[in-house]
Amino acid sequence: MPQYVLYVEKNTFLHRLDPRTKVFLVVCVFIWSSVFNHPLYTGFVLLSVLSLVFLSRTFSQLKLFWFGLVSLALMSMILWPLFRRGGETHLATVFGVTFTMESVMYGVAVAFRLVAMVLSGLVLLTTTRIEELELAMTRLGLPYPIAFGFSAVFRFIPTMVGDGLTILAAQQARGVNIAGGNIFSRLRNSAAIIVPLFITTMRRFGDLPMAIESRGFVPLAKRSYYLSIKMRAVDFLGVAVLAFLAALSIYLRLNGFGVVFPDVI
Amino acid sequence: MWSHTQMITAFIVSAGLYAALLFVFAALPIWIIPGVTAIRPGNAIPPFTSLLFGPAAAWGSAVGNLIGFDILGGALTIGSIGGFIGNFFLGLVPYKIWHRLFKEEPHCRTASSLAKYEFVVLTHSGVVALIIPYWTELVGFVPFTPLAFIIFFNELISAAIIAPILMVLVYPRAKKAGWLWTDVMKGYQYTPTEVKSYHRLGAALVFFSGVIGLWITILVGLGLGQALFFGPAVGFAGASLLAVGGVFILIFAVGMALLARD
Repeated sequence: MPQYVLYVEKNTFLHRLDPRTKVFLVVCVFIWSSVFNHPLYTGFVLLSVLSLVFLSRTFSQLKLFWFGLVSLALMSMILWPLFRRGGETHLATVFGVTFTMESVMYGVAVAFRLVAMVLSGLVLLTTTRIEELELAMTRLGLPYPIAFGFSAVFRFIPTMVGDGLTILAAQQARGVNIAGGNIFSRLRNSAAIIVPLFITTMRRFGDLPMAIESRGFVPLAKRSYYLSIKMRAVDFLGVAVLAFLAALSIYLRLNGFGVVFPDVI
Repeated sequence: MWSHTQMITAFIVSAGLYAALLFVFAALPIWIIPGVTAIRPGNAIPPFTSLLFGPAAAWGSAVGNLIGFDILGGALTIGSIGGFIGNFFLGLVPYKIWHRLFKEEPHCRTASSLAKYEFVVLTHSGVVALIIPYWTELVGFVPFTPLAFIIFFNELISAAIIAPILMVLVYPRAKKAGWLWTDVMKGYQYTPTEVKSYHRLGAALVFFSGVIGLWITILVGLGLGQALFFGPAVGFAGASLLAVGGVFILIFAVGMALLARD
């Protein structure tokens, strides 16, 4: 059964933080890991994010993603030394491509950066309900219709995926071969899933505008919310500390710390 | 667009369908390089919904990818910003070009309609393959060249094969049922009565930047012509790539601005 929600119900410090503080935390992890390109510095950022994963007690939920994270890190370590050429410390020449110590270190630094960013996003999603995230986005200035659409998609994805899997099974029973044949025939056959799914979805959604308007939905009207979120003292303190660390990391970078290649991010 | 409840519904359908199909077909991957990259049949959805739902599909593609790939797939990173912008244009470019340039409807039932449709698909694949990898290169996330290559062919193959079949089967029903974006947003024309010269220029610039510009940037990423155009003092391959790609993104922005003009 596919998993549609990453949120894990726990009562930890991170779960209790205001969703806006957690969004700011993710932004700060993006800043910290982007300003440095030395593996020691991005490695330290990664360790900090890993400590948040343990603090949030969501490690078990994240085990689904470890394979992807390791693949992502390996891809970075292989690809970046090939494309980010530069540096003076010659390491090896393979099939005419020269690898330097600096380019390899850059690849490792970016691998740590990628994993830190993905994990910070996962920490946000495993400790915050979608409704809270939607409300936080609205409070941060996202137009309500977009936020409404965002949460409605989450609401309807299980229905659409369910319809899709039913159609897939029905078409396979009729002899449509999605899993075999060459690329072109498989792509052509996938239309046998997409067309009925689209028509079913449109029929299902045909009455939606009327249904939501009859309940008083006016797209651009000012709204009130049943769910409430509030920034507490600990949130303000957290935002201040995070902002200070972000400013410090930028200052360090501007003064030449934490870089293998000074000219690039 | 946001003042029409039906367009918000179209936005939800576009986003939901895109995200749901990424899920459904994840169980049956069509590998290009086994274990590394697979074709996503769901990629046929943005050009298809774009021509039906117009601007709602642009937002739908952006949010659908954000939910289906970044949030449910656990890939929410700084790269998601580029993904959001790239997928927004994935849904915007097809309807914008068609509604400004072609008098024929996108039913794909005649050779000329199909040829125009494939032109639109080629252009939008190039645009997204330029924007997303440019962002990932800029923020030091994933190198431009391999990602641009993968995205371009992934988008092009799925959309060029599946989307015309979808249009042949669905477009007449959608038109009859009043699902087209111009049925909701009154005052807009689905196809132009007269093609203006600046719209022609705009489409040409978008095509030039998205298709020709993309391949020039890929070649620069592979090291071609760097010493010739930038001199031997280039510190790293990314500088020349970002400069060249940046010029093409600027040309694309000018093209889109011309297409947006009434």
